[in-house]
Amino acid sequence: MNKDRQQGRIVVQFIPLLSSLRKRGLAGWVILAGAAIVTIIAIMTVASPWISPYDPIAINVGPLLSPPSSQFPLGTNHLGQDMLSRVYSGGAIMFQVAVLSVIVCLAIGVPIGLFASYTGGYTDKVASLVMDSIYAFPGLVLAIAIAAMLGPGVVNMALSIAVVYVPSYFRIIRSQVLTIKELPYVEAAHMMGAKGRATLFSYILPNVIPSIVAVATINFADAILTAAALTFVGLGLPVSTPDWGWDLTYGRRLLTSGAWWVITFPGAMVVLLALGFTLMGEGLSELFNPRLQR
Amino acid sequence: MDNILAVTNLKKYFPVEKSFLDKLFTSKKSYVHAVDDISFSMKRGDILGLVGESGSGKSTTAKLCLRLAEPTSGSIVFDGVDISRLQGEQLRTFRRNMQLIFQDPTASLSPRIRVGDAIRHALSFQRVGTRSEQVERTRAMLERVGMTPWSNFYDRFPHELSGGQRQRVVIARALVLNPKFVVADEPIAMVDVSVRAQILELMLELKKEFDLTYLFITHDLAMANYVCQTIAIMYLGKIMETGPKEEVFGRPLHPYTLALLSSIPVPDPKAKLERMIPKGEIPSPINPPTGCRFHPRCPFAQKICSEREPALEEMRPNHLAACFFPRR
Amino acid sequence: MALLDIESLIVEYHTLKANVKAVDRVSLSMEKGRTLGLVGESGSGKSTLGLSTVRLVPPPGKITGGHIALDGIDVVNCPENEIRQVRGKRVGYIFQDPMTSLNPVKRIGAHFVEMIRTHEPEVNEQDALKRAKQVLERLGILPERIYDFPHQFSGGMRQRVMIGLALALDPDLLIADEPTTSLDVIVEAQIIELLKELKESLKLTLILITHNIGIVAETADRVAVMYAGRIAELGGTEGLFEKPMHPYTQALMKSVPDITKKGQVLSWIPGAPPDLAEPPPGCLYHPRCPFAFDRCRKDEPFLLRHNDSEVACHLYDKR
Repeated sequence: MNKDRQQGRIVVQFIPLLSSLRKRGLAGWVILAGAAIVTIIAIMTVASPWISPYDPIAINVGPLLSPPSSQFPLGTNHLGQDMLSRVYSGGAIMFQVAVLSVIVCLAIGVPIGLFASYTGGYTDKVASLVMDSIYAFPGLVLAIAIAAMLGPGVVNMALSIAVVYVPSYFRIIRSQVLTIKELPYVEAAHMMGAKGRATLFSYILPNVIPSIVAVATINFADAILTAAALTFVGLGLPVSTPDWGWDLTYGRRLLTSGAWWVITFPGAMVVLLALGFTLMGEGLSELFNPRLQR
Repeated sequence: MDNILAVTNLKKYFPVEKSFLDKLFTSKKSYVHAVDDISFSMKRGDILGLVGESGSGKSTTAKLCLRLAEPTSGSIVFDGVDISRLQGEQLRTFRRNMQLIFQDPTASLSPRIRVGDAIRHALSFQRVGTRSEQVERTRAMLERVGMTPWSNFYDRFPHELSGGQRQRVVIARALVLNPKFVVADEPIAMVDVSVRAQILELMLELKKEFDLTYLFITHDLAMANYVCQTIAIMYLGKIMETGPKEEVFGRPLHPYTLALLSSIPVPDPKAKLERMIPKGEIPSPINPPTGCRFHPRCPFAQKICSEREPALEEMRPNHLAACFFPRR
Repeated sequence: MALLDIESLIVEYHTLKANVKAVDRVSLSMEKGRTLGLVGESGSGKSTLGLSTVRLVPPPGKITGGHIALDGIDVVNCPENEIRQVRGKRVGYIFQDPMTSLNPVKRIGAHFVEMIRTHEPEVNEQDALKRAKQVLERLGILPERIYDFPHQFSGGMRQRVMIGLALALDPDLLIADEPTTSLDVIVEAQIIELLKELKESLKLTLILITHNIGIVAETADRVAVMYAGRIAELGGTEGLFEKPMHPYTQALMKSVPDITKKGQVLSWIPGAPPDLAEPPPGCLYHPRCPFAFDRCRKDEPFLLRHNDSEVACHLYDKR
């Protein structure tokens, strides 16, 4: 009976979440809009093997560098590859890199942030020092440096992005924990005899999660852009994989010959996907800030 | 010896953060004399009102009694046990006996924890009973503080309740562990005027039912008069006067008490007010005045008041004051 | 002629969820030299009413109905530059929180100079500072302190500075919103005495907004009790305290402890103030009123004359 109650509680909590999104007015719509964009692109990417008219990496399927036409709605590039198929499937790598980097960040940044700021003292000082040093580097430069060291591949790209981003998680969590630590309800937890771990997990972490979510979604957006940039610069992926980043690289060079369609469509997709995540992030941080309605 | 709490020569000094240059050039340390050598005791079942303005040390005293801070020196004996230096696991188990009702009902409840769980956590942190027993006790406690039926409130989040309701949750959380001693820090200051008496009545009823002893911290003399039995007036870390409320408020001895009493606004337009409002403001607790702390502002001060500090002495049965020239 | 005339004022807050009437058809007038105590609990609309007299209601709040005439000026509709002249020069406003109302990076003297020179640009900085020193001295602060920063002042001192700023341009009307709420007991008494003394010597018209009926009893000659955005009762101080008419006023009086009365039994008001987004029908107080009858649940009571005061309650409406 008890288990049913608990399972029921989880389901019951999800449904009101959706309807409460609608009730939350503007913030809710922003999240839905962002989520919609991301979902559509994700579906498109996953479905690409079935919906692509041509094999995205097959060359010479059409005339080289032909503008958008009825046969090739988004045109072809200098290798004769169909841009539409490339646009459909080019997001796969992006998603993988983004998701992986966020997972790594969460796994590393969150525990360090929580533990160091709660414990205080030297632990906090040392952790802050390390994190601030990493943060001081310009993000893209650092990512490029690490990617160059690690070599190509999805995992390596994700790792280099993760290293750059962990300090952001650390900072946000740290400032939140330092504030919350002093609040009366944490003092109340101590009064009830809560041990450090219990206080941290039941009282501090739940109130920090909203900001973590906000950072994570921005992380996604940034990861997408950085992944594109890494590929653009030549690090990251073997040429054969369909990827918007490669299209951007070539597209830029081809722009001078007047072939605007090679860079435009993949570029728009990158921007759109980043936008989708950003909207979700902004909406979520709006939502999670409990606004006092006085 | 029915003293549930005996505080002796309690002191709490906080070191003052100095600027970088000061640290370089001066080696002298300065301290905030938050609580400066106070002694008092409470009998079982008493309601003591610790009354004072800001900087008086009343909140710090409460924190020390609850061991939310460690005293700089002095002893706190609770129910025969010296708790001044308890640490770790001993301190945690001791916490069952004393609880705190906070001032701000909104800030003292985590916004992400349901109200029922917040109360139940008190039991689970102290490992009292099984989970279902804890839930039962929580439900009973919710109803006991007037939130009936419990099912309407157990799963609510704090922001879904009114200020008065939130304060009741805080009271429920404090009492669910059946403590013997409860410290209430300005429990109604942030509750609407028209609801305050309800919370106070609830606390008095619960006192009878659970056989509690209360330590009230407040700056509101009228409220202290309404609900407390004994009063201790604090100023700049020292107790100036203490005794039964009828004595302290009815026949005040210390000029500071007189000043406080004459300063409270009275909700009666026809009342003739004889105001004895001292000039100036409360001095800094980092460098308190020499001798009697109140002497710079006291209209009755004489030379000796700036030289020697008056001891807290019994001037009438059970009525103590620290003054060389009490107003008899 | 009244200095301030408020007629059927409506102030609404438009949120995505609902329309909330923070002030609902309030009418009030202030004669020169009188003191009004505007009493109410949280959510009563008293602060909003005060802010609307100088058109400083923060968005999303807006004045959506009624008139406010300040010595002939139409506060609700006049152009922006005219209302800016009113603020500070005709009306002095003491805001709710002295701790955060002063700019921490500006010296006190600079605050005064900015205030004075905004309204009287012909005054040079030296003269403005001189005036500032005079004001501070009047309020019991050493004049040299115009060179200090806000954090160097204690709470009570900061409140005096706020009063000084409000009075720097010799306004006719002074509105004080919870002037003593964050202050200690003795400092509170000092500030109240100061306000009373200034009122006399400067012949001020004063509106005191507060939830503390004690200071109202002491300083005001008239009291307006607000509940849920409306005036429940309005009358002379002595009469209102001795024989409160509106059930809310009666209940409020009985819930405040008076240390001079022995053996007092305090009561309280069950329930909570109404959700203004979904107000109850009829009289807004009826769900908590022990005297509510049929009519109270259907018709809204209007403020009507009864003896020497005005009450918005069907118990006194013999029609």
